[in-house]
Amino acid sequence: MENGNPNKKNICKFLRARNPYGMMEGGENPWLLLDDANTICWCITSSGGVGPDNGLVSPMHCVEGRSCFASQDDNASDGEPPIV
Amino acid sequence: MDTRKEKFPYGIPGHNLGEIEREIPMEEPPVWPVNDELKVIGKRVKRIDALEKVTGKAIYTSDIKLPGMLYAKMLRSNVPHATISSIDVSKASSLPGVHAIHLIENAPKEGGDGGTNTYPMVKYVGQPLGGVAAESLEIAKEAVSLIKVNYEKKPFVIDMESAMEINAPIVFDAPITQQQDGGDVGETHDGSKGEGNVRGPSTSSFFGGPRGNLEEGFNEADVIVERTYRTQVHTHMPLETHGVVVDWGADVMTVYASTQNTAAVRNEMASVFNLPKSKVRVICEFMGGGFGAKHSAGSFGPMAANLAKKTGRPVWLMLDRKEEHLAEGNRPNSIQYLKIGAKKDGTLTGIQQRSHGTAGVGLGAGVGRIAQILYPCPNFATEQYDVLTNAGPGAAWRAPGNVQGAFGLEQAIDEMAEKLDLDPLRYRDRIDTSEVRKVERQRGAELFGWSRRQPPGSSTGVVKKGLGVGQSTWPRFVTLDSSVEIKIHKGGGVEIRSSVQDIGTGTKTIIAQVVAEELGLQVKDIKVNIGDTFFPVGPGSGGSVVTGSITPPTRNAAFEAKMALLKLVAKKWETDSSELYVEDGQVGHKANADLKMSFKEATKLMRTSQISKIASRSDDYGGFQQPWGLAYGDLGSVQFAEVSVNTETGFVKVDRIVAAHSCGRPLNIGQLESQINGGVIQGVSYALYENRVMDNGTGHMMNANIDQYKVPFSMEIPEIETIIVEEYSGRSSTDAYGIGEPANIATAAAIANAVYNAIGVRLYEIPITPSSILKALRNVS
Amino acid sequence: MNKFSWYEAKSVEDALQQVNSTLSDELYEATDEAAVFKSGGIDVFDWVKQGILKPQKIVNIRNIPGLDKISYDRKEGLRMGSNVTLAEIASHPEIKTRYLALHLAVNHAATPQLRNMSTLGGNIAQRNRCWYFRSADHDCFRKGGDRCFARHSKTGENENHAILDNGSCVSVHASSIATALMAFNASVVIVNAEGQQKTVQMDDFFVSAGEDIAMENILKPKEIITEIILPTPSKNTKSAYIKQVARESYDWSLADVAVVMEVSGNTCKSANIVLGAAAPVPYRSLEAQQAMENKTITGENAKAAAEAAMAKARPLSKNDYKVPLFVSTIKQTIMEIS
Repeated sequence: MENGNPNKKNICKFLRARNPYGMMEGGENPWLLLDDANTICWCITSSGGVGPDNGLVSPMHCVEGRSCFASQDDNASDGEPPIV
Repeated sequence: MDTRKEKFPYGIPGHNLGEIEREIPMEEPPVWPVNDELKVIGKRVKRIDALEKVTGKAIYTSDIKLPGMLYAKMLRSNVPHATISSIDVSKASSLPGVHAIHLIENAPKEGGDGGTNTYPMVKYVGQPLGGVAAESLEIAKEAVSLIKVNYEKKPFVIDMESAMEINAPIVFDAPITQQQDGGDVGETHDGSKGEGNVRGPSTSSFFGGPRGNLEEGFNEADVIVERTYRTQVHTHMPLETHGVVVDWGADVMTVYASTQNTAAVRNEMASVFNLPKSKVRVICEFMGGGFGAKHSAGSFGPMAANLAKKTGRPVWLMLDRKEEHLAEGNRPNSIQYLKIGAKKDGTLTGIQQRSHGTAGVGLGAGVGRIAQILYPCPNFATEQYDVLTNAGPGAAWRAPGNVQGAFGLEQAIDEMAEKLDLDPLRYRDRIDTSEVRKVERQRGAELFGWSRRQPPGSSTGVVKKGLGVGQSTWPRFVTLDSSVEIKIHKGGGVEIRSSVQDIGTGTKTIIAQVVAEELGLQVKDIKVNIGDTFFPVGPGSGGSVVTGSITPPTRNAAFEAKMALLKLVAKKWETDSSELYVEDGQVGHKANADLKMSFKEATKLMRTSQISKIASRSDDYGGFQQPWGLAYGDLGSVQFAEVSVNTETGFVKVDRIVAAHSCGRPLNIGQLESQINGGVIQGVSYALYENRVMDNGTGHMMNANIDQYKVPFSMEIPEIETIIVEEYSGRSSTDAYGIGEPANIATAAAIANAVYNAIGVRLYEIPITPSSILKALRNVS
Repeated sequence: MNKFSWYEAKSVEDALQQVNSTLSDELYEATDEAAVFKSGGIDVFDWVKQGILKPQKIVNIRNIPGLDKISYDRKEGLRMGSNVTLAEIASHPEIKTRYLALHLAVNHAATPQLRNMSTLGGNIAQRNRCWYFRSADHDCFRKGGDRCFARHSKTGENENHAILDNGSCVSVHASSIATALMAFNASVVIVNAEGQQKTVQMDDFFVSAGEDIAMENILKPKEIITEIILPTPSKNTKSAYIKQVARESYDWSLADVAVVMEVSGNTCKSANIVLGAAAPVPYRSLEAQQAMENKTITGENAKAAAEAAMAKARPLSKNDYKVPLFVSTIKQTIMEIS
């Protein structure tokens, strides 16, 4: 992370993160990656810190290429609900 | 430019109060003077919902009862690491009264790291696996006990230091790739890369990265303090547990949630169930505590909704205390190495910090940024590592990281002061540049009687007394996505609406105060309807952001509505609205004392049945320090602790805490005191009592209750005195900030320093127990 | 918690006909149709709520008439029915004047709410404290399992556990009231289904883990405590009690000590010194008693007695602090007498 300039990243839309300063949802501009050592993350499809693929949930991992990744652009009304 | 210039009070009354000119947007309300000149703001206003709360009339989430409602219970793992080979629900589903069973399954995907079925891999005891909805909670519980989960057990690791070893069982099968995974990239504890449970280090944050050159800094130093500090895992223990009642109607899913973030729960539920945000309504009218762990819908929210979907009935799902301890968050532990160097005159020349912490299966076990920012020091570096273990995930916990960090730093500063032969308070005067903490030290020391402090260990007798101090800082963060609607009804009646929830600190009351002050009314005249996502979006109750985020738009909306009303009166009186004012329920004319009209009378001039205005949080006057809502200045605090230590039995009693705090313009003194009391009590508890005890052999938490997980009760709570320092900076229309996190940061450090002062031996680990005291005194080996 | 039926016992005989098992037997090896007693319900329902005890029937003995009396006279001593609540003992004036250590022990037990609910019989018959023993996920010796989790030198979480007589089990007895009762040489009246009554010294009521791992007392199925009797103290009897807890407001004992002493001036003629939370059953320290006999009550002698009491202490991996804690507490309690 560049100081004062959080990386612009496409993070899975199902990622949520909470740090001392606020909430973050995945997507294009996750500004809350301001302090990653103090940021707690979870996945809302698997409801926890362990992802749907049994892997670690983290802003650096929950990106394109991961099997369970969903982009912000994925049209919500098209897809099946993630929990069956 | 549609701006104007105004002079704002600036500084600390009784110390350096002056004025500052700010250029502000034209639509912003006029400046408020200092609190002494206001009628409602800064006063001891009784909570507007006090009666409802103390009489039990307040309806909390767990009290919600809906027609046809079912009760649900979660199924959880009771092994720490395993794949699930099968789950047999046949006995449970045939139990009379059971309506639905929902098992958590992940859609099968390629590239996953194991399991032959779609059940999640179990990574800790208490991990949610499913849920049952039944006609009563008792039936649901019995049904859960009848579900048979067949596990293929895997090696696990619970203890953080064991997890850091080379051959430790691996929590996540997929290796942690340092190059991709850390916010900053580095090596694991032993220099090996790639595989293991250690992730990091994180070396920078929005406060910047490393500064200067540590080696040079330590070379310049005349005195070095180099220590390792340890803190425990601390669970949240809100009186009201996590939970929801989900009523999934034909058009809208209504979620009654015990949450500190209605908007976030709404967004989660909308995402999970593929619903537009407009079709999910989250309501939290009363809240029984959260402390950082209730920002999410969790696993219980989607579970209740899935069960509601399967049964077509509302579903109540509140967790029990054991589930809270196991799975709903905790403050991660820490092992912190700290090295600080100073010149003979005390000038800091270097601070080096290295920490490891475990948030179980999750991340975020850093120790905050307090070592980085509390005292200016040209040479600084931190490395903060996460260690993954087979235990429940951490969650934000009142000043995440910083409480752990302050415990280390403020003891090291204390030790440095002693090495320099300086009084710890005088030493902080020398190295701390914060004006507000300077005032807090002065006023606090006087009230506390700091001059009574004797040299460490000089107290005589079996029970030794000691005095200590600790300091902290917390950034002024603001959530800009914070909006409020005001409605003035024809014929009287003022209503406020926002999705912001009152976590219990009195948000409803301060909103009413701000509106009452602006409209010249009384607090009882204002109806505050908040905690409902059908209203304009408000901030989450975390980061101490609520007061600073929601009160300026509250005032601005009230101001706009007032101006709309005054225009109607001005028209009737054939004058300009700028000539009018409201005060004590009356509209008046500045130049003509004969022109008077009651507020209620004025509302009858309205063309429509209501005036409605919505305002959102403006940018800070003069801008932000960082564009995402990091405001200038800090929320500084200084806490003083007085303790008694029985050197024969090892028992420590905190006798007294003096807590000196600032939060910009204080809005409600009584509520601030309550919140500081709460922070101090949790700090006492962190220093002496609470501790998650895990059995490393089986992976179970042994004290997952209130009986053995010790929180302080009345007799453990010290005498607490608070000092609230008014500090004006002219940054918003209320210039007010929160106090939630600051109240909790310095307490444990102050207590540890006081214990040292009492017995002359320093404890580097919390909780401080009879065992640790007797060990420190070498009464036992 | 499982579903169970409820039986309201009308008399001791009625109650004894209804039960077929005990809490101890059920925890050691559960039966299908267990019917067990419940008095105050404090301990039994803890086990039921944990899902460890799954009775088919609960026999409520709380409302049996005649078991809720406290009487004192110089000849008979103090007689307390087994259904007397702790709150009733705590507020009894005769107990406060004549049996101070008992008064103090009761007042430091649990919380006011719990003292209102819990009964004397239930209190002394409650099962031991050990978080492994009380966990549904840990099948320890006391529950018929094959290991002691708490004793494990690397992973055992044993900070609250026993330091004396801990060879078979390291749990501690939970009744701090029993500590005081034993120091007053209390005896326990037990009735069986045949209507036979026996009176045993409290020292003999408790059973060491070495003798029987499944239970801490001699009660068998179809037996019930009806009364606790304390002999009349002589006019030269003095008593004291101190309980050490992590949390003063409400907590289980880490170390509690009851001292009942016959004194002549400031000299101890004979002493009863009993330690709670030291061993799997209340522990009478013969060493400390002997050390005080015919000694003046001074800090030095008290300390010597306290150290004698700890001579056989065998702390576990995380509870060695209990040794100095007991030394200090025994010394303090003896000094309260002076």
